[in-house]
Amino acid sequence: MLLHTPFYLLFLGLVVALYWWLPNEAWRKRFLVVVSALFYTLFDWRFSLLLAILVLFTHIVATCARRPYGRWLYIIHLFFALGLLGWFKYAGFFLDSLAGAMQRIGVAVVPTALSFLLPIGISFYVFQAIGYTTETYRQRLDAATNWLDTALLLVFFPKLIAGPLVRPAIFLQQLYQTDKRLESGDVQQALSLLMFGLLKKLLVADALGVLADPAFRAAELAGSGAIFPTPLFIQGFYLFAFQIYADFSGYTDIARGSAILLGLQLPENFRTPYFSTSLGDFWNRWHMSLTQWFREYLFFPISRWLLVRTARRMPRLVQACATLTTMALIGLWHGAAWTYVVWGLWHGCLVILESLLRIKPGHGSRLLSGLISFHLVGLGWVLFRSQSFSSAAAFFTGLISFEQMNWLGYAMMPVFLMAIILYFLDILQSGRFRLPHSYNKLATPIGFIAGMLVLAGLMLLNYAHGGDPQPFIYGSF
Amino acid sequence: MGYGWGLMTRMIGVRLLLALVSLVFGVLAGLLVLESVLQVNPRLLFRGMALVGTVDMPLSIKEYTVHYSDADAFFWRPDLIRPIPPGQDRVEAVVVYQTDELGFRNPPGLPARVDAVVLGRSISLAAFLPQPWPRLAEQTSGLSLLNLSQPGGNLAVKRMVYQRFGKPRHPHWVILEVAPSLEILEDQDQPDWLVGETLLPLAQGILRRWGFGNAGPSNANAIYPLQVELAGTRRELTCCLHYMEFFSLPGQELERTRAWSLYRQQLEEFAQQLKQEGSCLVLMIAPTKPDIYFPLADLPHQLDEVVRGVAVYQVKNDGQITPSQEYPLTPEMVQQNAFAGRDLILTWANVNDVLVADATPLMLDALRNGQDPFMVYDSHWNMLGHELVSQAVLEVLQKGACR
Repeated sequence: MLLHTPFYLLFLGLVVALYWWLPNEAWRKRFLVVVSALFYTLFDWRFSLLLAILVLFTHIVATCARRPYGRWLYIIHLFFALGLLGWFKYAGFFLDSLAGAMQRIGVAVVPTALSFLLPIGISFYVFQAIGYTTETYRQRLDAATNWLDTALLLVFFPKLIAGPLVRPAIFLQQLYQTDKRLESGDVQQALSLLMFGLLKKLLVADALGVLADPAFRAAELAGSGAIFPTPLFIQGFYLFAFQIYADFSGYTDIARGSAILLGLQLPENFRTPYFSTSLGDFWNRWHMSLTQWFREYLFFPISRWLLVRTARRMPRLVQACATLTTMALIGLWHGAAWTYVVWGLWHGCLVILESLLRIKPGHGSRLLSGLISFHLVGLGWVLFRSQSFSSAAAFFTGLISFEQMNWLGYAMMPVFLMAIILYFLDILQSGRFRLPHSYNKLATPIGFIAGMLVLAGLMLLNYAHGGDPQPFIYGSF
Repeated sequence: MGYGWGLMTRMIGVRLLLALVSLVFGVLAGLLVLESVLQVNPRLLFRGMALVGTVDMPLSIKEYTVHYSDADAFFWRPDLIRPIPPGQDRVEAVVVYQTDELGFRNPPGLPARVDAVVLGRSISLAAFLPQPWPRLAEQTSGLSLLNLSQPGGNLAVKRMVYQRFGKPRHPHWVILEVAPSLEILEDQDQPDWLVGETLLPLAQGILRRWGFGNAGPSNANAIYPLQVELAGTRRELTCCLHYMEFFSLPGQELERTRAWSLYRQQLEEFAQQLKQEGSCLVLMIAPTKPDIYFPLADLPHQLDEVVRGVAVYQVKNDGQITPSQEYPLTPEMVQQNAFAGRDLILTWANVNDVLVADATPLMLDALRNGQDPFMVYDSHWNMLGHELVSQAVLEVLQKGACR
């Protein structure tokens, strides 16, 4: 059940109604665990079994973290969770890479074909579980005494498929509250998030962003000798950058809106990332919950360990190594392909370069540095989206081949429209643009009616076409 | 009390006014956004709508098999067709439908310049065949032909398609598909707002998903396949499900219609425009089933069922046409007027020095020789039809210069 379908909205409405009808928090938690399990089972029941095992094991490890054998349990849990991820997501990739490397040194190896159905959202809930057990093991958090709390931390349905990753302490704190109420302000905030999320997904990412696909297909076909116009690649470059942002931040908005209706707050995941004025700034605004996770559980430990090893003599080198390792793994987290790793390394190198050149956010002209940052991020997205390095290379070649530039005007029409709509949604949502109260009384209903009309129109068009709804890009990670 | 009441009505009045203003501006803003999105991404729309673009995704490949039962006849009038007996629903074609970077049916990687651009409708698109005639002509001659055909759309739309997608490739030839019976009487308006144009196909799409219009043939009135003697051979025909009223008008009456004068005006403007741009207009006459089947019917009364209930057009003094049930359309009338539209086009082309590629004689000959240039149930040409058209077009192109 995808979060941008009428079916989900109906499901959410029913869940919210029943949730607040239940007499107390204990019942509500049980209910939420059941509906979350049901939600996940609708994708594939076998995945639910896997998730149930992970929940139980995580709960046991977290509660036993302070016992003498807690360290061993923690390590086993770490291996188990990463093992799950490795088995389902990376086994085929590593075997293929190994076989490729062996072939280069003249040893012919045919790897066993390993292709598993990837449990949806596995990267998110595995990281959530590791984060929780690490917090309890480091004694920064008391383990939840009720397994339902652990279960909800991992399986709460709005965030189950694509996050955001929550800080266990903050989320559990909310679960412990017994006097939750749904105020009218909450409903207003939730509905606004749902509408922004749906508009980003259906209008920007699906209706317009889908036009980025031909450019990437052209890059794949370029190997067969076909020559494509440069404007096609320029169009794909910009549209994919907008699409991935609208798609993922749209998901997060829907997830956050859904959670608020159930009395819970999920963290912000994006803060107008394309307004960033440096790459470092970008990573403080893009997929913030994942960046925070990696910073907390990987970057800082690696940095500390290296600083001790080098007796703090080479702090810049230490920082560079830790940054590159973290960014490479962030890349690998997104998908089992070397293109993702290189995408991560590209960002890592840029962040290091910025640090060496002492470029800080807002350094120099904000507009110029913003444009440069956006285009550097965009170049990374080409790697991220391409099926292979050769296809990415063909894309870059297409960008600078200046073929049939007379199509530029035609190709840029969807880019400008998408940029305007996204910019408008972003500034409205970020609160940068505020009308005086008296105007706002008129503008809010106008925006609401316009938004509803657009959503209804797009949903009806999708329905009449009869195809499957486009999945969320981050849902496949 | 009086003051309170007045205040309340004033309050309600102001609120009502605010609500109305919000509603109007909200709806307008929403429609504007939807319109902009549909304009830049026509893939959200429906096949057959008059679009300056295509609903197909650029650089896509679809593979499908076409059976008898996929024919458009089952879509338009399933009630008139007897169900195909089990085991006899034959495969007519296996299609690999590939689109170029603009979404049209061409191999990807379009050259910056082409020899010819083809502006057609579903006939030249040939979605149910492995190769449309432009590809056949390209393979035979070595010329490069850009096929910009799309189902639906009048001449005004084709001109806009040419302007956006054809002209930038500086073609020497612009081949315009002309199916007289389908388009002379057609509305020549330019496409309206897409949001408005979408309402009807959207409603149809939704109803179809709910199961309306998908009902199997009732068979009560089923007449097809109809046994007819054509050029001395007995054949089973499924044909002529719409636009038959056109054949009620003889040439001189057709010439009096306002629709023809509008159509002719569009043709003249287009020919003039192309001349100024250094390109050459070629009209490709696209014969339809009634154009070919009716003139060769040995026993016209065998086609009585085909024209039963079809209105006869009458042309008023101002050139407008009105349907009339007073005198029923007969197969003989269709036979007499079968070439009226074609002749009008040929005369116009002759007067205006425009080249014409006409496969009608080739198709008539094929039928006389026991072949059939049309698909069995579907109203479009089969591969033989496309080969004949390719032959007719190449003959004109290879003769050389524009007149």
